Order: sequence, then C-alpha cells, then structure tokens
Amino acid sequence: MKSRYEAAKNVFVDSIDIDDYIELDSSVTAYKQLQHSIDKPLKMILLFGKPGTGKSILLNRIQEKLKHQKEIYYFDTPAINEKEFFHKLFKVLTKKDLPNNTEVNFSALVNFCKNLRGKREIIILLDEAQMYGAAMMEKIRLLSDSRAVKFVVSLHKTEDEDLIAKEHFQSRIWEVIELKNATKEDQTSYIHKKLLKKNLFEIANSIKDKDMKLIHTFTKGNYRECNKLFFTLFEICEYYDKNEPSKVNYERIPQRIIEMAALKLGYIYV
Amino acid sequence: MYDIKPLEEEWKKYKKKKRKPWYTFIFVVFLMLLISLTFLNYKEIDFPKFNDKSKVEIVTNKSTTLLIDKALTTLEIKKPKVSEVSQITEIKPMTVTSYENESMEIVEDLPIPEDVKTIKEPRVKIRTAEKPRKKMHLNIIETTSVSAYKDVAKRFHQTHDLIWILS
Repeated sequence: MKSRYEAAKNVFVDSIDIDDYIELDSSVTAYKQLQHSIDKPLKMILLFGKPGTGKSILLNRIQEKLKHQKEIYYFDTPAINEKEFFHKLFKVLTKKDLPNNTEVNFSALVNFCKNLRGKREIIILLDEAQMYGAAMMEKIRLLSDSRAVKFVVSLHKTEDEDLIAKEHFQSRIWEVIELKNATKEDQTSYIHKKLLKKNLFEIANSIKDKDMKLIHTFTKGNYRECNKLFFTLFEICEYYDKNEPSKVNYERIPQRIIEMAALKLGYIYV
Repeated sequence: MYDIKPLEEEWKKYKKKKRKPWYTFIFVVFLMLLISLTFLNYKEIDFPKFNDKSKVEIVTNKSTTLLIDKALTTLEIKKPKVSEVSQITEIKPMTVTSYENESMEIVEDLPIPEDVKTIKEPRVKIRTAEKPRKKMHLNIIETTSVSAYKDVAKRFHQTHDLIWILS
C-alpha cells in the first residue's frame, strides 16, 4: 500500500523543472526585472545570489517565456574546458555543428559576431558562471563588446568576495540583479503552492504556520534547503505511516519529525 | 527505507539538550526567589521560630513598624512607648533587650523619661503630705471639769515658769 506521503516527498525532489516553477511575489519581481534588463541595450547582465535562491529556475523560466520572441539560449552546465564552450557557442551562432578535428578561432568568432550586429540579437544565459575561469570570462566580455551577443551571467554570491569588483565585470556590467532568500511568508506560499499543484490538499493543510516558522529558521528561506528538508520530512512521515502509524499526526506534521529531518540534514545537532 | 532508530535516539538527545537551559533557568529563578524571600523577610521568619509566645510576636511586630516609619516616632509613639516599655519589662527581659538594641536611639531621643519623672514628682509630694498624717495621734482623755481645771492651772503655771526662764 502506498503512503500518502510518497507523492508529497516526490514534489520536493531537487530538480530544475520549469513545470514546477512557483510564482511568488519575489520571483515575479525578479522575473520582470530580468526581462526589462534584457530589453535594454546592455552587453552583460549579472544575476547573482546565494545557492538555492532560484537563479537557475529564473533563467529557465525566462528562456521558456522568451524563446518564441527572441533568440535566447540557456547554457545550463558550464563547459569543462574552453574548447567545449566555443563548440557550443559556434553551434548557437552559426546554427551548424563544428566539423570534426577542427577548433574555433576566437578572433574569427569575434569578427563573425561583429558582422551580426544589427542583424541578429542573441541572448545567452550562462548558468553557474563562477565555474568559468578568468580567461574565459575575458573572452566572453570581448564577445559581448560586439553588441550582437548579450550575456546573462548567473553567479553564486560568496560572503567574502565582491564579484562586481572583479576587473572583467567592473566596466561592463550595467545591470545587476540580486536574488535573495525567501521570507517566511514567501516560503509558506511556496510550499503550499507546490503541494496544491499536485492536489495534495490534506498534506498542505497539515503544515501549520508555526511549523513554517521553525522550517524557515532551519532553512533560512533558501528554496533548495527547503526542498531538501521537506523531502526528508516526508520520507520520515512515509516510514512512520507504513511501519508505526501511531507516531504520525495526519492533522498536523509533528514538530518531532521536523526536528528529526533537521537533525538528519545537519541544520541542528546534538 | 533507512533505519529510523538512530535518528530517533539522536532526536531524544537533542530534545534533552534543548530542555537543559530551561531547567537551569527555572532552577536559578527558583533559587533567586528563595534567596530574596529569605533575605527580605529575615526578621519576620526568624523571630517566630525562636519565640513561641503570641504576646511576644505582637510586640515585635509593633517595634518593626515603628522602626520603618520614622515620621511617626515623635507624635504617635509617646503613649504606646510608655505602655510598651512597661509591657516589655513585665513580660520578657530577653525580648526587651533585643527590642531595645534595635530601637535604642528612638527611645533615647524621645522625652519619655521626663514625662515619667513629672508623673512621679506629684506622687512624692503626696507621700510627704501623707506622712505627717500618720504621725499625728490625738489622745482624747475624758476628764471632769474639776480635774480639767486643775490640769489647765498646772499647764498655766508650767508655761508661765517657762516664759519667765526664757525671758
């Protein structure tokens, strides 16, 4: 017999699925801001925030929405090396595959982009751009100077490093969009909407405001951490539901189980 | 499915750890309350323990109130002080000494001893008036007119002789 918590658990599997996109006040604001920046004649746009603040899902969302209006491409995983990156870029720009045993000539690529100015406007969304090296970033900058290719660079914000102060961003980044962790209200709305989207009304109702306060304290409003916590929480609920049903309260998620999930994920410790 | 037992054990330890500061806080508050109560009401608690008589308790209560309110000492104490002093001296010398030690200053400052003296002085005067009364004894002797005449004549001669000698 299947537990009711199994479906709930699967809702929180950490994946970037555009169908799972939840519209919140904060995410709508960020989306509109990014769309507005893309429309501006900018060379580069910096999207940054802590891991799990929704950068990737936002880039996916914007690509999905604008793909029929603009020439927009999403580079999800960073290229292992420079060669691979330029292979991908060549394919996007020329709409052809690079012939075998050939390499991209960077100078020729820049000239090709310069020739595209006024003819095409290409938007490239670079996710996890902190993985690219300084040399690669410098080449991306030179390509953006052609004004035919616009880059949206998504970066992790680190505590001790001011990304905007970096040399290659200093003079060129004209628009900076920062994504922050969710507030308690936004996080509550996110959880409920996610569960209601899968018609899990009873489970959504079993998560009370007080529980969300505790969850927000543990996850600090981070969406990824929130997904992880809820996945673990429903996994524990599923176990009890199958093996020791007396330990599960269907009306309300017991605080004990929330704390157990937090212990398992290391948010709290003995 | 993973084994939930170690997680349950870990949660129990966590709960115990989480409650520990609360237990400590409650204990500290209780301790502070106990200490403050003991120190604030030290006299009230201490005296009844050693003195079982109810009369003595009343006396001590009066003394404490008098000690606290200094403004009342000059006007209101006069009458009760006299009575109290008399009561104390009558009831328990031990309690009197303890009471006097604490309220010695107030007792000395007040004009109580003078009042007592003024009360005693008239008593002395009355006593001096009463003493001659006790010494006066009138011996009334019943005599006849003849014997009385003779007696008067005798006295006359005696006093006459006395005046003559003196002159």
